[in-house]
Amino acid sequence: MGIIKQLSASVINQIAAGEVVERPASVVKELLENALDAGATRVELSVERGGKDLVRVADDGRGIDADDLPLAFSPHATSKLSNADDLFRIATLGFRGEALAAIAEISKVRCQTRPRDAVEGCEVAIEAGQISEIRPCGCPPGTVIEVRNLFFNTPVRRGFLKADGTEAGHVAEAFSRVALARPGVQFTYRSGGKVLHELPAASGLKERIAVFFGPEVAESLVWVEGRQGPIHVHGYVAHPSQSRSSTKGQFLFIGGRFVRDRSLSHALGEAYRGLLMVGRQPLAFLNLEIPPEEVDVNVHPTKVEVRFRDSQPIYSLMLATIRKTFLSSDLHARLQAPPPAAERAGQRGSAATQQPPSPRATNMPALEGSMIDDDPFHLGGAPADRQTVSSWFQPSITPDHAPTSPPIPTYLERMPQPDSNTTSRAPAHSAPRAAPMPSFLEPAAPGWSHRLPPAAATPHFDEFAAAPPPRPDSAAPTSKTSSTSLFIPPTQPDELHVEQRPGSDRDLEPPPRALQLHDSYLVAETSDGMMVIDQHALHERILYEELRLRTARGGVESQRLLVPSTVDLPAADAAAVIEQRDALASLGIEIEPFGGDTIAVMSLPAMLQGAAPEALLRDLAEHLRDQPLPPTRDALLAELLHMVACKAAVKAGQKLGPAEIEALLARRHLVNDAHHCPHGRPTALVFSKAELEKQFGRI
Amino acid sequence: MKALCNREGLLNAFAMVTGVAPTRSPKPILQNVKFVVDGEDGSTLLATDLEVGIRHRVLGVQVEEPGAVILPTLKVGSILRTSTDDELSIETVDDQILIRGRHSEFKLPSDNPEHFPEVPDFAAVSYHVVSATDLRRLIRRTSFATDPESTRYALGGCLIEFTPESLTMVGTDGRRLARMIAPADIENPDAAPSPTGSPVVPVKALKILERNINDDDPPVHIAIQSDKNVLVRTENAVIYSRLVEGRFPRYQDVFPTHVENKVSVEVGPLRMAVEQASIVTSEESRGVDFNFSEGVLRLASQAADVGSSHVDLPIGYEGKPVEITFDPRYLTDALKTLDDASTVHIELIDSKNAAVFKTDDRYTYVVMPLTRER
Repeated sequence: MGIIKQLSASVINQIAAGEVVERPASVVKELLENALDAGATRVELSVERGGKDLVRVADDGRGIDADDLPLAFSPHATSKLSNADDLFRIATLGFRGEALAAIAEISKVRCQTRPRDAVEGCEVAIEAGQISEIRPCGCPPGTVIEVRNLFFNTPVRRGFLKADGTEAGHVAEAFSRVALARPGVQFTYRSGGKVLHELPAASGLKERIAVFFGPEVAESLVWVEGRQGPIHVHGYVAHPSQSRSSTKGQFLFIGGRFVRDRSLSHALGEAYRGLLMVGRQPLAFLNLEIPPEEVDVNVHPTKVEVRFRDSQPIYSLMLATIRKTFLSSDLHARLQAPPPAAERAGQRGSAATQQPPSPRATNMPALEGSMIDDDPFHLGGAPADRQTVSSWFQPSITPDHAPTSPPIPTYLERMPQPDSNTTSRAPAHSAPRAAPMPSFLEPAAPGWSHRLPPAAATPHFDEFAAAPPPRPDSAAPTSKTSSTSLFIPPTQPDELHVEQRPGSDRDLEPPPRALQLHDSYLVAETSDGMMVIDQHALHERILYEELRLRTARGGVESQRLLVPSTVDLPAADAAAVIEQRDALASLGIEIEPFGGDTIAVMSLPAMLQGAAPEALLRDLAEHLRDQPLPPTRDALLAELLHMVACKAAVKAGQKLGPAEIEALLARRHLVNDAHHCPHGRPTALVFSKAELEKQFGRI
Repeated sequence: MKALCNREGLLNAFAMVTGVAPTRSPKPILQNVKFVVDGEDGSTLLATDLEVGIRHRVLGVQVEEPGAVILPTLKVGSILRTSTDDELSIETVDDQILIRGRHSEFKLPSDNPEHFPEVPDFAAVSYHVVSATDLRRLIRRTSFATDPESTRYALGGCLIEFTPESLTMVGTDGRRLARMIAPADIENPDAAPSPTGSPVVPVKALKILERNINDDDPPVHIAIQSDKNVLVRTENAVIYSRLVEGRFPRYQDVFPTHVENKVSVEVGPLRMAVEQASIVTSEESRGVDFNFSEGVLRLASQAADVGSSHVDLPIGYEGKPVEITFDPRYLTDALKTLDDASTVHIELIDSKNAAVFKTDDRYTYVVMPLTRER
């Protein structure tokens, strides 16, 4: 008797706090989400010592009535939910009514709040769950919550906190997740009294990304959008040249909430299959709009995990959307050539903040019309060319980030052109065809997509294009590179996927003149420059595609083994391969369970001549285990074909005769995705002729 | 050291040993061959890559001053081949090698012969004796079936098994297996240590051995030394090799225990037919369908982008029809080593089970069929 006791409310709250509040960043997340749920348009976050000493969030939201104030800090009290059915129609970020109570239990909280229509505000202080008198006070409309000395009454947890810098990093991450989810809200972030981020509400998602990930990433973004039934995916993914070693650069928002989902993260990985090097993770910023009843966010107090009623259509929509966009894009790695020394300093200085192509793409037609045609030296083209080299990125989409009114690039200032100021700064308005653009201040994502010139007006061809179609605004050589179409600009969503890329696919013939360097690289002349090709990577890619075509048509031959080969696998791997037994058998790999975690391999694909059963099965098991969804037969086959292609391709260091080089280049167009070898290394680098001329001081 | 060498004799020996010397090695002295001249025991050329070693007798050496010298393989090989002299004088002067013909003289840098690793000599009292012709045939008919690239090292060599009357050699890559048995004698059986383990000789050593024996050579002596090494004495050379580590598959299990269909076919026409049928195959679609039916074997192949073919071969088949698919290369590999005029007996069960090819001279070749997802 007396062994089991009812816990006191305070202990219950402290336990709950353990789940909700792990570190200062958790407090930041909860408070920021409360501010957004309160309809704030301006949110200020200040932290001291990484949030250990102080987390302060001020918003201009609707505030709390004095009567409601005590209730706000008691557990399971919320304004966001009233009955259980509401749980399946959640439109707010929070709803559990736990966070404030939990936070108040383990810190010293002061809250000042004033509803917009109230004449005065009120203030309350709570220390370790003990609530003070509510006093009237003067304050602006909205709510200010200060959380001091987090974990002051739970010293053990305080001991688990990391160094200030580390905690500040987590806070910054939490902040970035919220700020990226709501580009329409103005955010300010102060740490240790210094303003780290001042994000005006006017900026779009891309500007926010530029702030958090740097201009290089922002420039490399590719707009994707897809819709299927009530599900709508839209946002940016980064060009494969930008990648991270972890999935930290992947932001998936559902209803403005940052979530992590293994299967969607995997869809992303699948979309980049073959484009990224092994072990690299893509960057993506995607919004998923889905009816609230289709998703359950009430899985964990922090709500980072979600459950979908049916994840398959979401998975396939996401994969299809990104893949389609990539297939219609030109993803050649562009070479970053160092600018001439004299210009370097200036360019570097501006490169950090500028978005170089932005002034150009929209103003180019005007520019070219007015001056290039009667400028035999293409003086006006010089800055444009630098851009094509300094970034693989297609200026044709650049108007997209024009709205931030970037600093004027130094080279533009030096341009012998009277109206350089106008052209560089007010791009949208200087381009006649861009005139009907709506305001960029519109915060909603689809809004800024209209800023783009219509896709039809954007010339699409790449460096292999033989000659640009005669078109007034692309007559100058500069526009040729500039218009290299990386991807479809975010125009009307329905135009997105129908557009065909008239790229290298057919413009390559006849094969360009080429020469082999160091028995490893091919240098080919292209219509507007040259291209350095990694022979192994290209050949591997070609073989892979050919194999894929051939195996798609016929069956896969299977060579039986004389004696079944036994392979010991980790339990999880063994289970994974046994589960996929039928799929593997259709690829010519017959396996049998052999007791314990041992698998007997009875036959192997005949095309994998000399493959060791053990290594093959291990690779496949690893592949299978890492899939959140059962892989399709095609995905498995692709894996096998990669192995075959890599073995069979010409190696670096292998001398090729002129006929072989020609044959290799001639087959280049057969490949759906010639930009990268199956392992994701680029197959080719591009130098534009203009860049060469610039380097030699000709222009 | 100083000696006057018959160029022919030295060149012959040189050609035999250079195959052993590695072209690149972390131990550079191994890229050379060692020449030992000795008036009493005879002169020898030595080469080794530490896995395989060879000592080859050199004929026609007049020793003036016994000793040893390290000869750079490439340079000396070229000198021997291009020289027109009947005799060349080789001597060490200070640290250099001086090679002199009538009208030519070469000075080459040289390593200290002391640094050259020891190459074991044949010292066994008890050993197995097998005829040169048989040994060559054993090697030719089994070593092609091995897989030196395999991560299972034991597949990179041939298993050798002795009984008091026979020598069996087996090679396999896990997909096909070749076994041949030849008569062999044993010398001093009483002194022989009882054999343990399964000695697997690496293919490289077998290839070198094959080159070093001619069909009309006297019988060859083979000794397994402490389950680690094998030493083979031929007429002019002693070849040493480390045995391959790892467990050789239990090859006896591979042979089917029963036969359902049998047919005997002449090797030459069968080989031609298989070669023809394999014209229309590709890397990804390499299978050739073998349709055995009464009186005729039809070989049919079909490959995307390549085309299709069929070749008919009249055979004395009387069983029920069997269709089985093979990688034709597996068959031609073996058929090439057989005499075209000889007969091969084919034993089949069905399209899923191993097919067995046998000859009258105790050669057995087992091939697993291909299956195709259709």
